[in-house]
Amino acid sequence: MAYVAVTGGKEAIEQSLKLLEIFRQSKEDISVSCIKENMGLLVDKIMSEAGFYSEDYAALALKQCEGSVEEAVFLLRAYRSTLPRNYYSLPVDTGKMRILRRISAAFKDIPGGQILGPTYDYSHRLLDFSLMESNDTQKAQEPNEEAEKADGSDIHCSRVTDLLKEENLLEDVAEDNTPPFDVTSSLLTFPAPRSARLQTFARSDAGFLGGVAYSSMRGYGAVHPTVSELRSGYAEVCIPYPLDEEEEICIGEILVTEVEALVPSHTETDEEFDKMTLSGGYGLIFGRNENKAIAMSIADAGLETEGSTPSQDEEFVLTHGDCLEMSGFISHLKLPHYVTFQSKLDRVREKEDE
Amino acid sequence: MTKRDITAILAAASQTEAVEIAAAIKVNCEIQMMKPPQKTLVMVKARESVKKSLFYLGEVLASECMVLVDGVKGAAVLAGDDFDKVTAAAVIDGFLNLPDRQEEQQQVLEQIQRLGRQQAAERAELNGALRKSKVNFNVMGE
Repeated sequence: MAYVAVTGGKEAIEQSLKLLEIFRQSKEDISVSCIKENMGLLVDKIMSEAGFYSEDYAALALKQCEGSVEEAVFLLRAYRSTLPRNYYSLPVDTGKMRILRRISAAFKDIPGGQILGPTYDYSHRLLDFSLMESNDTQKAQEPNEEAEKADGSDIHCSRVTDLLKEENLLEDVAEDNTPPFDVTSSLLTFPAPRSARLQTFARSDAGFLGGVAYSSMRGYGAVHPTVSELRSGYAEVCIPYPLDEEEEICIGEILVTEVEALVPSHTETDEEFDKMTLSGGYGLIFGRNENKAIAMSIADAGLETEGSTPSQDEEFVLTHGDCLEMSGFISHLKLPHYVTFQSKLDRVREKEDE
Repeated sequence: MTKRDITAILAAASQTEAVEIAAAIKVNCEIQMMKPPQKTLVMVKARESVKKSLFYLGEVLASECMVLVDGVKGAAVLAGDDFDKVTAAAVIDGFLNLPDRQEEQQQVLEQIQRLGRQQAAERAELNGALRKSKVNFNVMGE
């Protein structure tokens, strides 16, 4: 049975859109810059899942759709499709990022040290009722005398895995310059190239990717990694200079989170233990979302293992995590299915009559 | 200063700061618009550090512009949608591409360097605060 178009409901739809406006109205209007500054992690999530980096437009999308993540991602993806893509960046060097936070769960002493930076990891999860009334702007602007005394230069650190590579515990591979696959312009086929996997993960719904990683760690998979390094910071994006491809120009910085995870090979016997090797999983995403970046590294490592669990099934993992596709497909169930449902009812009735 | 250094500073500058530098150039040079400012996407290519392969991380909203400054081309691409800023950056680029204007160009470069130092100073307090969150481990039992 093919889909049959139905018409009607024009006035009702117009009124529904007016109601949206009414529901969005508030006594205290919130500005786009206010959303950007106060809801940074949410803005980062939207940019990451939309695969579109613009803090202002992500905040605008959130304002427009009452804070709905999937609607905001939809708006950004739709807008992005109206723009030409005139440039491709040179490979971003995240090793040179201007660091805000950098930790390792694998080594205590790492060159450059462990910099906790801004994190909720050590905060008490207690509602702070003082925020109901207080004016935070004042607090944020108070000069930090101790910080002023510290070295104020930008923080750059070498990678933790460089240590392991120096000891030959981790294979140091040569650069692979194969042009990346682009999932936004080509249909994904399986087995997918590594570039398609990573691009898909970077755009994935954080919840889905977290679920895949969690399942893998709990036993429905084979990966329980050690986070060799997690770093967040600003990376420069450069493109070839439009008037001379030999030169490069910087278009600005983007905030990213990167994770390198170490996964020892599976061992059950002493003989296998003696031959244990280390491999890696990789995560890189727009903005600050550490769990998503860690989950990405686990999902990446998981697809390198063989098995029959969902997290090891490439097609399952790569085709069910896109925020827009999943919410679109689920959302379509709200649209009229009168004809197809009537057909199913008829069949049930026929069966009953028999 | 390389074009990369110059553009990194201009990218981090405010619209007012970039427009101010370009304004002085506009007084002494003839500016023609070749490609009016418009929005574009820049696809970010990243090199992952495990297998050192390339992949696309996502797209950045950017603006681009191309001008002629006294008949010499200048171009700019900056993240964001600030048309005034990207036009100013293109004017500055065109001016720095002009032959035989070293003395005036040096003044512009000094302005940009000053801006760079100012930006570094503005980041210093945050960097200091970040450094204060560096962990000093005390291993129990040692």
